[in-house]
Amino acid sequence: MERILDNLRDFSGKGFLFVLLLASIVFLGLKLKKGVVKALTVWLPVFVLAIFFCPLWSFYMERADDGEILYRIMWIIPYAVIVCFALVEAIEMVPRRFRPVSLLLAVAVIMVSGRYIYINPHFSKAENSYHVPQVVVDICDDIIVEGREVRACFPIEHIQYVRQYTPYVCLAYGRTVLMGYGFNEYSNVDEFLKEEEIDMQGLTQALRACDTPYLILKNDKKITEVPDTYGFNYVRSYDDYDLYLDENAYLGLGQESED
Amino acid sequence: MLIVRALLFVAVMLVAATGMGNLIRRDDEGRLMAVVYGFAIEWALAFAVGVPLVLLEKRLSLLAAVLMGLYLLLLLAGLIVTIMRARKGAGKPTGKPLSGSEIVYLGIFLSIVLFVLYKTVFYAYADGDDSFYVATARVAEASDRMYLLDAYIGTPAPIPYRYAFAPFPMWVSSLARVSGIDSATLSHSVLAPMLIVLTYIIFNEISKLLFGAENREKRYMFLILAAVFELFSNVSTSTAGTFMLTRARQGKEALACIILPLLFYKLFKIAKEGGKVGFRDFTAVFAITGAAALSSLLGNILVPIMLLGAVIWMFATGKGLKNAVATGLPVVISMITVLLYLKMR
Repeated sequence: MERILDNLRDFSGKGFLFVLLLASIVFLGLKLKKGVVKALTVWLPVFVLAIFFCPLWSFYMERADDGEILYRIMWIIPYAVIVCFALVEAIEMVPRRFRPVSLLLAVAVIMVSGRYIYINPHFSKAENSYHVPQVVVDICDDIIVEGREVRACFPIEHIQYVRQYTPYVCLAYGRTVLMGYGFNEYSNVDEFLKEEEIDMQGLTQALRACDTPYLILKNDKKITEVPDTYGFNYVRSYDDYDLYLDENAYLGLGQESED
Repeated sequence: MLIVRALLFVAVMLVAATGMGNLIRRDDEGRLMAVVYGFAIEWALAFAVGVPLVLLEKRLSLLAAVLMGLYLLLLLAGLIVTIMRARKGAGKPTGKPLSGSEIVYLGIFLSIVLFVLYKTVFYAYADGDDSFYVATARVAEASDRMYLLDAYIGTPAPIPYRYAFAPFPMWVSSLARVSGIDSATLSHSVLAPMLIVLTYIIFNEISKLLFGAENREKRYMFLILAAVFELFSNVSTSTAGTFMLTRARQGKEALACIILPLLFYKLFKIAKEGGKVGFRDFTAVFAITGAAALSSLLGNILVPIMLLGAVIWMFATGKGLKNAVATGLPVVISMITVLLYLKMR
């Protein structure tokens, strides 16, 4: 049961919206007469909550890899519909002239109980229609070779964007290294990048081992030596990021014809 | 140029969805519901065609061609149905003009919706799952292969069955290939606002069932509160509201914010009609179940739970075996999908 409650806590955050839901169910349960609306707004959520709190889920969560997504059962409950229906029904109980004020009060209740979505730090002004940082777009545009794929090693903060923008840039490591339970089968470059000070000799060897000619580093990242020491020559900078290219890299016909 | 193409895409999608959706929209349902049903049909077809083609390692261009052919056929059928209905005079708006307070409430609600759409298009939300879902669509669009390359790094990879049985990104990818708008732009800037609007359309239709279509003041108050509720539902990353405003491009969002609310609405509608399941209702539930299967493997669990609840209610209230069977039958889609997945994974 503890696991299920933890899951509910993860889903409900501080829990005020969940309390609001429970209060709405009780209120509607008392106010509505027996019928379809009551069945859908009172008994359906109770039915879903009963399924959610079924102790058998504890066994499942203990054994399954995806046990933490149990909370998705709660998606069946139309939270917004039930809470807002209850609030409108409550507003209806006050005299007509006070209804606009009551509506404002209801809005305030929701605002106090919840958390405004656009203060989430993961939101930022979109820099382009792809919703990918422009620096990633610029770097990719410069390293793409027509007619083939190239492989690059981007800093961890950019790996989630590169292949959304273009599948022609492959990566030395992907998001699996950030997922807690994931690992990178293709190379071990992420082990070097995670260090406070990057061992450049080790990193460049690892990059060559996985056929990765391009290296992008944030320019304030601590490194043992400059990449040029090991044949990864500085090409140019993009805002806070520096691009390096392996001097031994063969980049294909596209680059040769440009030369 | 991109803006023109995107607007054209939205227009074509709305016409196509409306045409198809009219095949299963009942006369007593709002006209905008045709758009929602249209998307459900598109997703159900994408699931029915997509999964076999993915498992057979066929090309994306084949999926796109088959889907567009089917969409066109259904669109034509839908247009014929629409014209026939128009001749009969069905669905003509009969409402009185809006009162002052109704105009104010509706205006507030629409302002919130516009604000949300502005934020969706012009603000980016960094969601790690996009590096799989959007990249998977982008890779398929460029390589013409489905699920055969690792989305994260680009190496050849075995088919990930967990995702292959819910190929929502392949639907996005097919649209990208046909429209010429890349999957990233399509996902983040074009489809996202469209999917969000679908949720509000469903809320509007649910409000009619809760308060009666004519009780517009209460309905618009409800819609304002629902829109505010979604804006303030970021108490965790897992709530449906958070998914709606941060991930409206992923199958999971479609499941949580469109498909499950649509099924709730449909069952509500059926229950209000005394539990009688007509042909259009049956087809709609079928389409919704197929759409859920496309959106996420979990859709094959959540939709049957809802349908089970409906069937129990039907038996408990004596709505008849025929209606209960008609409501529960679409679960076959979920069962076959789950069994195949368990066998092949």
